[in-house]
Amino acid sequence: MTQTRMTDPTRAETTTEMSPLAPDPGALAADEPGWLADLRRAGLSVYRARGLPTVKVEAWKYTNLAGLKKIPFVLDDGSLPAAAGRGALALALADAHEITLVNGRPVAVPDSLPAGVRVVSLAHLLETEPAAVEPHLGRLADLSDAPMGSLNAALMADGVVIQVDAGVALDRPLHLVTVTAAPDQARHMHPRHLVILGEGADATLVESRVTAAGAAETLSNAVTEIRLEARARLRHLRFVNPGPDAVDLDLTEAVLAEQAHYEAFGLTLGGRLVRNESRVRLRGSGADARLHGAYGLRAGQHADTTLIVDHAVPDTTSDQLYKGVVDEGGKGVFQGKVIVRRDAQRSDGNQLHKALLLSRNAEVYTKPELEIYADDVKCSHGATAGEMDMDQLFYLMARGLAEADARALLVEAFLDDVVESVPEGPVRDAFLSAVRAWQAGRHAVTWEGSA
Amino acid sequence: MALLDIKDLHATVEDDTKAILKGISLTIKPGEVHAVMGPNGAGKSTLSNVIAGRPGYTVTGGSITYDGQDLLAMEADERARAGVFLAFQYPVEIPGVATATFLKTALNARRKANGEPEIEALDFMKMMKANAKRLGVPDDMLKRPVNVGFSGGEKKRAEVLQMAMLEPRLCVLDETDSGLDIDALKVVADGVNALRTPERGMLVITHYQRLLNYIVPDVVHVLAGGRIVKSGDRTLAEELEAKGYGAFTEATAA
Ligand SMILES: Nc1ncnc2c1ncn2[C@@H]1O[C@H](COP(=O)(O)OP(=O)(O)OP(=O)(O)O)[C@@H](O)[C@H]1O
Ligand SMILES: [Mg+2]
Repeated sequence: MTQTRMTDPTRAETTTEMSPLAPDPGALAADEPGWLADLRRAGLSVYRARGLPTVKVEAWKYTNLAGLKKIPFVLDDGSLPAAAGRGALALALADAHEITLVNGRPVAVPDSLPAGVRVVSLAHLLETEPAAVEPHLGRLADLSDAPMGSLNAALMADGVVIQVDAGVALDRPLHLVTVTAAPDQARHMHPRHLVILGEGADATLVESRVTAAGAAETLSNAVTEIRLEARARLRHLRFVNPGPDAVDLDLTEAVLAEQAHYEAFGLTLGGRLVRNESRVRLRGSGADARLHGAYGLRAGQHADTTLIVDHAVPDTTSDQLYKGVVDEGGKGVFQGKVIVRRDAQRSDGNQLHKALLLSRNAEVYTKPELEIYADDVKCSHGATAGEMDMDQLFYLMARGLAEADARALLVEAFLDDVVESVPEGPVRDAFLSAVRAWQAGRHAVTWEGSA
Repeated sequence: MALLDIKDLHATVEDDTKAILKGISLTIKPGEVHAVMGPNGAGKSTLSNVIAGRPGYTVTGGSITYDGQDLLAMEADERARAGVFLAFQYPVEIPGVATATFLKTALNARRKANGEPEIEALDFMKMMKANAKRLGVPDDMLKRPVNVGFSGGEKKRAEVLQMAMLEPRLCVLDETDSGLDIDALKVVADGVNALRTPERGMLVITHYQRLLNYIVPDVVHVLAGGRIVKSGDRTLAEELEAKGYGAFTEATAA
């Protein structure tokens, strides 16, 4: 198999040093509308100026992307057959509208959707109806400080656009199964999604991020822009479970109008290097964001959760709650920021991160930040990181549970506690069984490892 | 054969040379109920923890034989599966684990050790509901995480519920009466009495003679300063209530 890079070696010198993965400006897609070309050029210039983020950049202090330079990635060209398929590791949701994407490109979209709901390929829409995309794409997310998000703007090729008209409530969840695949050589891809909910619309969007079997290294660098109009409600439930050679970077920016609700839950169990960055702008009074999640990491896994909630106007509420279990050799990062602008009085913002470290060689870095410029606010934050509670362990053993089973039960209980904030139903059940499976696998690995 | 035979037991807290148990001997035969009374800090909970196998203590001398086996050689979970049950003085909260699930897991661990199949879901529900009803434990408590948000008295009832479900051979109750209101005390005592059988033995730790009016002991021991300073029949409890511990502890003060 050839590992040749598709770049001119003389140019590779400079780009690989500072900003690998970046194309030559001249290589950006031609024959596109001017606004899109501008968007790409702007993205590319931010990325080139900032380069691949290093640990010297505050926002990337604990997540090092330097290792990416050594991997001979080629840009995914959409040539993989749809059969690269649905990852077996995706959530099993029988009753959902399922959309499968391979390397960020939709390959199967639901054929029957309720009236007022549209799910289409971004590439298709850009070709046939660019005016429908123009008001949103690149306008919701401010990526000027985000090198990877900017690289996405430069290189995005496809993704999904989801639109739910005002007053429409989706009957079943939309399930985005995003499969990364690289059967031949390491690939990088830059999926771009748009989610627009009209006034009073209501939807549940589930994502399973998985990897096709036998893939070489994959780098997925996704950006999702979400707009929730007044009183819209979106439950955004994500299962991040890519393969052991997957680097999965995601930046989601949600803008909420008055009384809109964004209820996000992320469960990360897979991947080598994962970053889930969510930025939520509360722009209308009564807007409310709930960013909850859980992660479980084993040896060789790094997962970064970076949350920013911006209370821009008065009477807005937010709640960040994450719990993580880190085993020997795993590394968890939680950076949570709450901004309350000067006139955003009566804002209520809470943040809590709890980590359970299962070994002395497990690492967790927590960086809580409160930036509060208003005076009449209620904000709280807390963080704990510790080992298993010996009193709890003894209590279970005193009732006859073998030590390994007692530990497993406590690990599950620790995560279930936050998974149970997902509304009751099939998605919550699927999350709970994913946690079980992860725990069982962790146990098996530990056991084999010590044998 | 004795159910529990403790001989000249000495124990310290780990990382500390200070002796807490200084030569405890006591023998419980099947069918017997022994009460242990004694001042705060005497070593009663230490004794029950050492019997249950809680880490953090070092046995520096003596032995504990349970049903012919060397109890000190067994891990806490093995002891539990062999039929030793400790009702905790301070039951531990376990967020995220529903009480019913926990009970079932514990019951099945015990059954598996005995070579029995897992309990049928329906049989389990029936058994749990019957026991809960008898002990005045409301159904919604069974759905809640183990001990989380339970009141002091509710925690003690839940301990006895666990005991009733697991049907141990040796029940150690560490101040199960503290925190119970007068009516609850009677309900819980009835629950404990229902478990009195010719095969089962009990070690009941308490500060109050009142409990012993309901759970009538065969033997009462006074534990003070890490030693059993006096043993007698149930009238000893009444004597203690009348005279206090002073009369017993002064006689043995080192
Ligand atoms: N982990 C520990 N570290 C240090 N000292 C301890 C520890 N556990 C027990 N002790 C000491 O051992 C002594 C006996 O404690 P224990 O809890 O057994 O008393 P008790 O008889 O149960 O008292 P109470 O009636 O108050 O429950 C006390 O002086 C106590 O402070
Ligand atoms: Mg005590």
